[in-house]
Amino acid sequence: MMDKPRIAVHKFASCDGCQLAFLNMGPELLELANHVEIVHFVEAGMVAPDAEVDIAFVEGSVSTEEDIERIHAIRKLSKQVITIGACAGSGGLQALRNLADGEQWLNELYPQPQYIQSLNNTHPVKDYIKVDFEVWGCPVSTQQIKQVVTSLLLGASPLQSKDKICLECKRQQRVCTLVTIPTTGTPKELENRQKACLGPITAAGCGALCPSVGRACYGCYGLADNAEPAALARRFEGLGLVSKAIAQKLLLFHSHEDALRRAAENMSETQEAFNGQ
Amino acid sequence: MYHAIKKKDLQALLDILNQSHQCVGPLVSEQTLKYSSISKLSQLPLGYSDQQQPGEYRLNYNSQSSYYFSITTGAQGVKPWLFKPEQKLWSVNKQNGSIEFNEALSEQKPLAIVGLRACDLAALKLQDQHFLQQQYIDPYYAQHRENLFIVAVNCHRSVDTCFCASTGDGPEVKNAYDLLLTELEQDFVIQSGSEAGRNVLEILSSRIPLHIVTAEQEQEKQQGLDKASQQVRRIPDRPVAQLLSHRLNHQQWNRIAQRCLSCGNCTMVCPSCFCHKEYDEPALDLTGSTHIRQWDSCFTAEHSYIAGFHFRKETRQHYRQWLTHKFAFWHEQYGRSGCTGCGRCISWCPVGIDVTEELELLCQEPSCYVDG
Ligand code: SF4
Ligand code: SF4
Ligand code: SF4
Ligand code: SF4
Ligand code: SF4
Repeated sequence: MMDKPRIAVHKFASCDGCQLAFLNMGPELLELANHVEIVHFVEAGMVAPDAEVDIAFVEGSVSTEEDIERIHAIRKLSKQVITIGACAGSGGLQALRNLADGEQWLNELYPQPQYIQSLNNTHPVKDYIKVDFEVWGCPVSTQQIKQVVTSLLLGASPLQSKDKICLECKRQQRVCTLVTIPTTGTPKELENRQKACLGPITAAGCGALCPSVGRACYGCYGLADNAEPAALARRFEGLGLVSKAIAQKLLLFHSHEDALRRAAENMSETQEAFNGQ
Repeated sequence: MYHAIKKKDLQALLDILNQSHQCVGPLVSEQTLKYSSISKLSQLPLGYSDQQQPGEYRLNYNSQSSYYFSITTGAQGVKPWLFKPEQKLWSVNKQNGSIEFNEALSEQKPLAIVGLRACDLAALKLQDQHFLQQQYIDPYYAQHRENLFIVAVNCHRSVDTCFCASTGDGPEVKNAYDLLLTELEQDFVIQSGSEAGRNVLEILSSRIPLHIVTAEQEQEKQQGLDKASQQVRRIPDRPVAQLLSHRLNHQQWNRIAQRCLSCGNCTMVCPSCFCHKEYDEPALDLTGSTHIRQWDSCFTAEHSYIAGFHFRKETRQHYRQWLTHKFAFWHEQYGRSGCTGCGRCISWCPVGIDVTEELELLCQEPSCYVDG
């Protein structure tokens, strides 16, 4: 057998939640360690950011000048670069600042903004370097990480399904939050009629986590293949949501996605949604 | 000859079925109806009924009602019990230098389903045609299908999305069943339709009184069916299959694509849809993997991916595939339309696209459409 593949887990602007998908493997992480050599993973105590590796997992978005240098260096050191999570994939929540004036925010929010070194905009990794594979989620799940790593170890390309959440939801026979009108239950449940679920435009992978507990999908797994955000936005209008609320919903996790931006921009009052307050 | 039994005596039937079968019935779960394990009559949704509109589903409760089977349908019928949403097909293990394949099928109790409606029985027949085709028997489907015991129920009401009367599949049960119930105000009319059904009825008669159906009961049964036959939706009374297959460039497809989300919910809830895909789940210790089949839909990108090429990329094409397969090309494939009028694709479509309305627009007289 060839040498164990070497892997690294790098962090950029992020909440660390996606790296936890590795740590949450628990004892299975030890099994994984039989097949790979983890050379850099700060959260797990291995520090070797400049080591050459076979696979580099990257969490987080590129937000500072230093980040730009670091991401280019990682590309040079790694045979494959795989992004994990919304931040690395599309900029994530913090990319909302790209819709506003970053410098203005900086000046308003920090008493001494001169100590903050950040780019005006934050970007997904793919805006700077070639990415070999993207794992979506906010955060990604342990199941997805296992799928990707084991597939690569076996020499197969990892599964990349960007089907809609609705399919996962229906396969599990979850009741559709967008269609069903509750008629029994607590007053709070009754209030919750036909929720604005983003499942029809969101990529599967989470197992329809939110609908499975009766909540609408927020869209954290990113845009599905052949998504129709504009049509869904019109449906939400039919539910009585105002344009501003719809735009905020669409843009929350993945405001960097062109299709979502276009759909949101087509809703009136969008500008107001992010600049007005 | 039919018999009538008192409503409370349905418990005896559940008892008999549960002795030899895994018995499932229409239970209320999370604001809708879902076929789940049942052993007690009290689990049935007494007093509940459904109200369905395009993109809307709600249950109503009436404490005065004596009816157990007033909910027509939930999002699924018997399909998930036979053609499972996720099905392990086989697993493979590496052992001492060789690889070993293992069948995933395991011995299971036969299934009995109580409460299946006419549209779903007709759809079951369509699924049989697909999964039990001559020498191409799908063993995973066949496992529960072969010994499936069906207690069908005639509809005594229909909802606004039902159009089984116009497809000719309901509301009266016409396809093969073992036992058939028709619910009346006070009683059930019960009749057998197979050897297995007759046997169960015989055991039942030793435990509870079976009455000969009276003329009044017969009349009440007919009234229920008549009421259920009055449906607001229908399939256009035109040669839909021919018209559709000649109107692949109709402008209406573009209009539908303005609303359709390509979400696939319609195909997921359709009791006759059979598309699926397969994938492997490797074990973390790299000694093997499991091969899994799951429901797919013609609204996914992968469904039309062949040899490095997506031949149906747009929502317009996805929707057209769904509608033309169901209402046109199914005829060539299986000798009839693939729709039994259950109305699920209308109710569970998040944007409320109504197949009957779209068919109407697509099949209008030539003067009303532009084919380009
Ligand atoms: S993901 Fe949302 S819209 Fe889709 S089926 Fe589930 S609850 Fe309905
Ligand atoms: S249902 Fe939607 S919001 Fe919830 S975890 Fe899945 S993708 Fe994220
Ligand atoms: S096409 Fe629609 S109405 Fe017809 S059987 Fe399928 S889900 Fe039911
Ligand atoms: S092609 Fe589409 S409509 Fe036809 S069976 Fe498959 S999913 Fe259903
Ligand atoms: S017709 Fe409705 S349910 Fe079907 S894919 Fe389009 S939006 Fe989804």
